[in-house]
Amino acid sequence: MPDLLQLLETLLANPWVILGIKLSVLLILLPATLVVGYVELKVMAHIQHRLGPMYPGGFHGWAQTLADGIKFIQKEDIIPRAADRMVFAAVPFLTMMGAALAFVVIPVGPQWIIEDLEVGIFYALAVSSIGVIGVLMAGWASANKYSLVGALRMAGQLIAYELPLVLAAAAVVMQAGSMSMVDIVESQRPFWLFNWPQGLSFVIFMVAATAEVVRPPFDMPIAEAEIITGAFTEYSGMRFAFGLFAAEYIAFIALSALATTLFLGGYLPPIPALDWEPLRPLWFLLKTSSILFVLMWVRWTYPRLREDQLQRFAWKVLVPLSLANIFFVGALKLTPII
Amino acid sequence: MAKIPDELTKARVTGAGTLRTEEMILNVGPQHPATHGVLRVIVTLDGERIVEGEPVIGYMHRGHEKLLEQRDFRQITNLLSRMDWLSGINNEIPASIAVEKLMELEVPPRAQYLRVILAEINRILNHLMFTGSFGLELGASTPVMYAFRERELLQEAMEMVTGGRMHFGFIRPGGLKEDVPKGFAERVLKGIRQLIKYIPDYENLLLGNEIFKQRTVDVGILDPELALEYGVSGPILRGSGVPYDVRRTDPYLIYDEFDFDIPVGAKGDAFDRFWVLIQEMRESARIIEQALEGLPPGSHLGQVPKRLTLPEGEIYSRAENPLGELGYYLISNGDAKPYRMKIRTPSFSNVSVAPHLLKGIYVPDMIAILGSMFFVVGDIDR
Amino acid sequence: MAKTEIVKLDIDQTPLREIKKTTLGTGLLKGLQITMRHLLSRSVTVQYPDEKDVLPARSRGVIALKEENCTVCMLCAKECPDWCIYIDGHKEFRQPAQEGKRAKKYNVLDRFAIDYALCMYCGICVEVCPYDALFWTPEYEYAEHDITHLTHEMDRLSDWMYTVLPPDELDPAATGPEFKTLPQRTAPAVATPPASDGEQPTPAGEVAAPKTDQGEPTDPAAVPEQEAKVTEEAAEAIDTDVATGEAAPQEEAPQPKEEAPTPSEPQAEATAVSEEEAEEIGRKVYEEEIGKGSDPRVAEGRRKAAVLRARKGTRGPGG
Repeated sequence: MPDLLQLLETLLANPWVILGIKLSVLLILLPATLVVGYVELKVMAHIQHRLGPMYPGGFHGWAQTLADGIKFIQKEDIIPRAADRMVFAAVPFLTMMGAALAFVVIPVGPQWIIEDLEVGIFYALAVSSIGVIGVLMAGWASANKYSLVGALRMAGQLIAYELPLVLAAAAVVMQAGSMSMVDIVESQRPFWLFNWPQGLSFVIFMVAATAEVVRPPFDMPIAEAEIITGAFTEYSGMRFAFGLFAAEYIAFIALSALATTLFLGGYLPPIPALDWEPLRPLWFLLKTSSILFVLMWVRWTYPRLREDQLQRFAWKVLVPLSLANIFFVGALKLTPII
Repeated sequence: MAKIPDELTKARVTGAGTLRTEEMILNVGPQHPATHGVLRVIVTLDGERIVEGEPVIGYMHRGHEKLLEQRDFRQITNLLSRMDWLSGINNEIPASIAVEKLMELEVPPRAQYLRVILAEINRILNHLMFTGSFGLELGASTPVMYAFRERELLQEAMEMVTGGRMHFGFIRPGGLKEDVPKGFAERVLKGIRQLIKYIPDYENLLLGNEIFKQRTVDVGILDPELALEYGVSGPILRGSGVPYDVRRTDPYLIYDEFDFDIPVGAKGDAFDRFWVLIQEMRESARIIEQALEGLPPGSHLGQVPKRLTLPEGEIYSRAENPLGELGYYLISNGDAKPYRMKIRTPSFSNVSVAPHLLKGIYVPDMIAILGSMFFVVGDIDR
Repeated sequence: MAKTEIVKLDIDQTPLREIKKTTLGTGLLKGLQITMRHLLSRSVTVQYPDEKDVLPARSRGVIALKEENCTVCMLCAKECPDWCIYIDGHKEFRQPAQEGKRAKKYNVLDRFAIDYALCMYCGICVEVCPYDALFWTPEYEYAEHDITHLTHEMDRLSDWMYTVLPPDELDPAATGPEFKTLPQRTAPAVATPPASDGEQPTPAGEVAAPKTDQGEPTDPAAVPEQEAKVTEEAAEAIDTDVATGEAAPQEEAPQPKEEAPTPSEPQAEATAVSEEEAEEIGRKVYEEEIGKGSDPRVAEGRRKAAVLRARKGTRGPGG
């Protein structure tokens, strides 16, 4: 048995194996959205006292999202006559790309990372905002008033929420003294499961992240009952699936992974005794999934706010709070706690 | 510090006050998820602020009033239940009452009790529907599923009695079409108990939720005097603090025998309207329990001639529909068919006050206000 | 919370309720608690194609036709608010049992179709059918890809008969409409035209039918015959303010017509008396059935049959 473990450890040290792992992180992304989409359907259903999909694939409808994807691909790709065709068509690529790029710097394990950039967190937050450009383009190119309102709401929301998000992350960077994601995780070693000095940053980050990925209670830019999925009103078929659903889920997973890395100790195990290299991705996945679950739980419980209320909340509550938090973390930095 | 000349200040803040903006006209509906069918609202927008909102009705006009002139009373019963499709029995009752009053028919007490029970079940069904849909419009998609779970039990009880789930066609001049089957009371009580058990869930998920309060408190305040001017009735009027309920002010059937309260709101905002809606379910449940307890044995149908021919004359009968006061003005020229039947529907009057509430608010508030006006388009357009 | 001044209305003052609002901060957590509770409890879904709800007997799913019972009286088609019932029929003559008697005329059903694309599922046709040829069944799985296939012809409508459920037992407290005491038929026939507006003074009891059929259709064919009868019994018509009902005109009316071209006065009285007796027999049968503990509707059916049999017996041949 110890031989086997040793073999595994030597394997993990092999650069080719590492390359394979890095590629798989990227390749897993698309299936991951399908899995998260399916889990969301199930969580929603059971919260609502229903069963959710039960037929596709046989066992508890596991293939539902896959079937949905196939259905979307088969559908007619309608572009309105008044739309700006080029811009309209380019949107799904942009929204998806923005969300997916953040994965480059997320450490699933110390080696399970595509590229440990020195400015990792800065990069992740920067690219995750690219998607908004896509949404704005969609809103303008669709030649639809609902889409325009949705796009403008999205732009407003981004401005309101990017600041608390960055400030919350900045507090963590202060603690770690580095912007590299691996360093940030390693700096949390004394706390293992929950980086408690960053408790307030965590709450601010999660609220801002929910707004960033446009999920209820902050889903005003796509509010179905008001402006009918906003910027994506005119989209259909595959473009709708990729531009809205896939992008939303990729961003959703990316921000949960980011929160795990910043606040829940990333790939670190809950207790030091379990700290063993091959198990690390497992801890990471467990922590990310629990964040995903909590966000789903919140989503299906709350109604949605109003855009102006959200702005007020962001500027009058979250921004001052996160500034105070930075001060608090700075003060802690003077103590031996962090 | 020296006073800065006005021109300079103005020059510095250019854009804030002088930026030229254009109003945008947005058609909300006729096909829109928040309009419960085909109500259309033309809103003039300044950014997201509504300058003016004008409901356009008539997309579902089915010519009920004209149609009724060509139909006998059995057919009319079935047509009326299609008017406000969420409250079939409640639509049928005042029509039968009109015929009974005109012909001086006697309705046996058992039929009266059963009518009250069915009407109140129907009121609960209607209110549950709006409980769910209001949450849905505000983005909470879970309460609607819970509401439908509770609806199902009562809906089954209604189906057991009438055979229908929406269009019951069960009330006949002089009584009911049939008596209730065995086990009806148990079924209804089971549904009522589950409802009472789960009402706190709705209250906690919606009324108690801070986000919900943000969206509804002080939104769409309807002045009681304005409401009365427009003939607003039902939960919307009571939400504005006017305790007007036909069941209490002009008791029909045997409503004066039951003990129930009329919940009224304090402010008249969307929150109060919704609060009234939820409390009314409790009151209806109370009425049903009392009625089931006092349900006498006997006949479900009085002495009714085989051919119903109305004597010449006219009559107005009204009832408290789940959505407000429903009135039928029936003129007969001695035929089996009514000469004219004017229908006063609650949704029509209730929605007509909407333009006053839609001024100067945001688009999401419009959804909250329209959602809290609790209308059925079929009831507006007839 | 400040209360708006309530406009004084001339109505009973009802108890005003204070708005009870939850304390700030707990609302969001309570919501999460509720949804978590539901997440952990068993869901209530009925997995439709695999499991099916049992629908009550009264469910208005689809209408079944008992072809044998249909007499092509067209009542259902006439009463249908949507005119979605199509009936074709023709008359045939049955060979008389004895030589020299007139051949008996009867209707043969050629086509009976219901267009479910038009049908509004009100059930008036089932209600008005005097011969119990139409029934509701709770079946509902007959969606079609082509709208024309929603017109169910006689064969499909007859097939639905296999799905008809026996009627639910009525609530024990339900008695059904009471029988009114029969008016005495001793008054001589007066030739005054009926001042009635359609009130038909005829043997009581029919109103107790399970399908209550007040608001009897205007059947142009039946009206003259009804009026003839009314003339006979106009005296009672004045006494009885509200008649309790009558047998469907089709059931009764053809009989005097078939029987003899001269429905003379004494004969009419004789039938009237026998009719009363028939009702008496019918009531006995009904009470007996109820005493046995049968369903009121079954009893009603037996009673009807007994009345018809008794009438036929007294009316001699041709009945």
